Amino acid sequence: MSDISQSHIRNFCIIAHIDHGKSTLADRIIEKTGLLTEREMQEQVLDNMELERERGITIKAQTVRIVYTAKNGEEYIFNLIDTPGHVDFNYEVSRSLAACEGAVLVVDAAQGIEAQTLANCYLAIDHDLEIMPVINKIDLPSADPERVINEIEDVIGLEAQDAPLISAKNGINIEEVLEQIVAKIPAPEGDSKKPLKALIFDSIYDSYKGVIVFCRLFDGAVKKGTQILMMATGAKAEVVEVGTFGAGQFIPCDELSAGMVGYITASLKDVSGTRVGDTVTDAQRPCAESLPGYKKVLPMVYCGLYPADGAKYPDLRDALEKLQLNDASLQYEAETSVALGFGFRCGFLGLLHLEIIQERLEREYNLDLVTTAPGVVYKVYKTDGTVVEVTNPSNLPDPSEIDYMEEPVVDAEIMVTTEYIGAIMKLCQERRGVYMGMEYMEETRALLRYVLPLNEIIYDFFDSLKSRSRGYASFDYDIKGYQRAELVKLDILINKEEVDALSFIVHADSAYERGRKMCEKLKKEIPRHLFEIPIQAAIGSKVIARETVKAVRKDVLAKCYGGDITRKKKLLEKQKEGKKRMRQIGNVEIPQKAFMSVLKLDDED
Amino acid sequence: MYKDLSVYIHIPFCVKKCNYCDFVSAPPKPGQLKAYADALCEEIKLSAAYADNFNIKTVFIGGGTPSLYDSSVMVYILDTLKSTFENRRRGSYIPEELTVECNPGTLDKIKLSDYKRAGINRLSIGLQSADDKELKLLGRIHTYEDWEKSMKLARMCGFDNINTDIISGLFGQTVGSFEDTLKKALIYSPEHISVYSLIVEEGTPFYEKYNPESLSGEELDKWEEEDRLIYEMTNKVLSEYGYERYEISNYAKKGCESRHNMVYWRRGDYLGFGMSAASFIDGVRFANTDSFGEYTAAPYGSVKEKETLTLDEEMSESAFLALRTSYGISCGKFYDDFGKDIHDIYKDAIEKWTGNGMLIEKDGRIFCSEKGFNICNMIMADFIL
Repeated sequence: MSDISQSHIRNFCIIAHIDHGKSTLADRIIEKTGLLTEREMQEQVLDNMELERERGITIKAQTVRIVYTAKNGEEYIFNLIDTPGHVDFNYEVSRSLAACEGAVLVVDAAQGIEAQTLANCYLAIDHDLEIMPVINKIDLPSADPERVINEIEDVIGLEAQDAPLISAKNGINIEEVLEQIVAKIPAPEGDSKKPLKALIFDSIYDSYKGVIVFCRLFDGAVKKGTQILMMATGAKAEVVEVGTFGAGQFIPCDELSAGMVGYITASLKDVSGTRVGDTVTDAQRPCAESLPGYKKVLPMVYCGLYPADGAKYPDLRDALEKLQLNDASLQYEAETSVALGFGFRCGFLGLLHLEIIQERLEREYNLDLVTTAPGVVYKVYKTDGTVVEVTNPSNLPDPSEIDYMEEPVVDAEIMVTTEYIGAIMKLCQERRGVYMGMEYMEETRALLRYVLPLNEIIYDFFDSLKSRSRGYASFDYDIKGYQRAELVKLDILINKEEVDALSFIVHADSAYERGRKMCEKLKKEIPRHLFEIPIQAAIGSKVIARETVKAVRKDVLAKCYGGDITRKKKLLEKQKEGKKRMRQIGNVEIPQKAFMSVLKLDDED
Repeated sequence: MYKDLSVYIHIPFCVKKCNYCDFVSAPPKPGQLKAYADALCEEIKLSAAYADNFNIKTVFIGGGTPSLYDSSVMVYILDTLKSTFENRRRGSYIPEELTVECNPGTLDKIKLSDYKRAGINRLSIGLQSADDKELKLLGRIHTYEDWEKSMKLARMCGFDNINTDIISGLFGQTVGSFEDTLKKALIYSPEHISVYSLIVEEGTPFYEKYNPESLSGEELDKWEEEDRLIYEMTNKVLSEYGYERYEISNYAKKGCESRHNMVYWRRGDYLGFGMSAASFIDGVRFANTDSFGEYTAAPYGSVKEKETLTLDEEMSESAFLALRTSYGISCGKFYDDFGKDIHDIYKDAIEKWTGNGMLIEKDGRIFCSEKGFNICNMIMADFIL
């Protein structure tokens, strides 16, 4: 395959708003190029994490190499890099883009341009990529490709008249996409004879092969035996294997050369030696300067992650270390909670990112986790003139030492069809949003701009937005900065004991409401004991809400009809099983679920 | 050496299904009564191999309403059991305790005399409540007066060992109304009384009406509190009348404890015949199918679940079943059975529950205190390994 020249390589990604059919198109491309027969195709080949299939979203960028014989009779190598669509995963998109020359922009023929279409498009333009629009879902009754083409031209400023009109789902017009990729997306530049210069755009940990580095070669070549150097970390290693990506598998090859996308495994045992964004070069013949890498992304949402079983703390640490390798935006540091023992305070890009990491830890690493309420980074200006950043409510200084506090706010842009403007404005107001303006994109759609406190959107803002607009609103945000706010720390006392893992920081105006809801929720979650358990919400020493879990008076098994012991035993086993998932706080057993219940306080709204 | 065996025979028929019942029982469709009796006898005959090692000590025919059958059928079933388990070396077959569950309204003098002749020496006549309104609510087919008649008839026919079932904890029941039921039952001095708290099981008509989610918190609290008071009152009244509580829900006059019941708690061997019947033989638990079609098609070998117990499971069962009885766990027997000191196995549970007075340890026994009985599920759950 290396006999295919650089001019016949196309490195591209597919970008789209969530749900516009990016992964489906990727599947079709793979299918059409004959890498897989139809029988071998699983639905959505590239979403190979169980979690991705279940949720129907792409979380991790995936890469696949395919061979396409174009109508001109020549063979081309396509390196397709699938990218995530959700706002939380922009950094993943950015990584993938750096490895490509072009991007296929998928736009839904009915919905047109959405927030993420724009955001991803701008990212691609930032990376100097050739953008090739494709109009998908043309077989939908509500499809209006003409309008969408005009929209692309007007809003993004891209030539879109000859954009392929396709249905990825039903395989309509996919060849046209492939031909345009050959025609429009430039071949990679770069010189195989120059010193090795490759960008690490992803890496994973494999228990047999160790660290597997995904890279894009810009110059030079690499093969088995090459001594490589990671320019930022300084790690050196000998290459064990190089290869390209099949669908969900690794295909070893002799050599990777300039313009190619592939993987390298080396005698790298230490996970920390490889960092996504770093440049790989030849240790014997290093390149002059490293590639720019990516903008480092800062976590916006923090929460505590604790192993349900305290003994699993080292396992959790290992799992986080390995996940971080594959997800540079994940940050963590050790912390201790009186209620939950040893765990980690972890930083995420957003709430979805948090959920995904939590689920991946649980599924891929078989860990049972307890998550504390997510929070943001607050700046605390103390009376002594110093400023501290607080990510864990337990670390908030005593109120007497606090002069004032600042919270992060975001510039939010919400695209919504006109009929839901009222509902969305109401939602933003409830979340302490400051109205900044509104623009009509066209007759039926408007762009609302708000400044919103980040801690108001990390819980369930996205869900509320979707439900109040029947799915029509889309949302994007950028961190604006910090803003002074009246914030208080709300503590929860169970049976008169403060439970640190349940404390959180909240705006003074919503403290009563939150406190009341917390108590109600906890009342439902905490099982009855032999004694009465008061649940209180307090600000400092002032109790603002209270509920009581009544004592158990009676809990008896009925008759064992005809000696059916098994049934009774199962009931007791269930009761026992429930107990295992409890945390002992003082003499109260609290189910782990209760710690998470604070995440979903707005359920009943 | 023959081992003792208890036999349970399930009759899955009733005149009308009660509103709280979630057991395998329904009014018979035409032809089902005969087909089932034939299937039962076939299953019994095909179980003859057990006769080589076991000697039947107790028999319990339960349901459903076994007394729904014509007494000739009952005699036929018992004869089959007898001929299957009798052998020349052992001579005749006389179980110590042979109980039939009966419903008031399905008994008459001839039936009872036939029972007596067939060796049945214990009856269980369900009263459930002495309040006709409550009986109606429960969906029972009889009145208090029907029960009185049945009791008188049974005594007349010479039955001197009778159990009666009573249900407590009905929604709207008060300590006063339940005490009335108890006292009305006591007029006929049954030798044995079982008092069960109503469990509202999913899938029953009661669940629709009284499922905990449909009641307000206040209603639930009141119901629960009344239920507990009723429970405590029951114990007090019955002990005044000379009944001893020997198990969570079973009370008996001295010497009249149900031997069959005790086999369950003491993990003796028992064999169940009929649909859904559970068995426990040599450490293996199994149960027959719940389906009438499956059972009658292949009565022997319609086992739907089979479970060989691990050592941990054996210890757990032995502990939680014994805790149902007033005698409790015998530490010595536990050591004999498993070669382990119970305190080593259940250190935390024993410390926790004796520490708060829910369990009592005395004379080599560990048993529930009266308060402990009220919450025994919580205690037992800690004895599951």
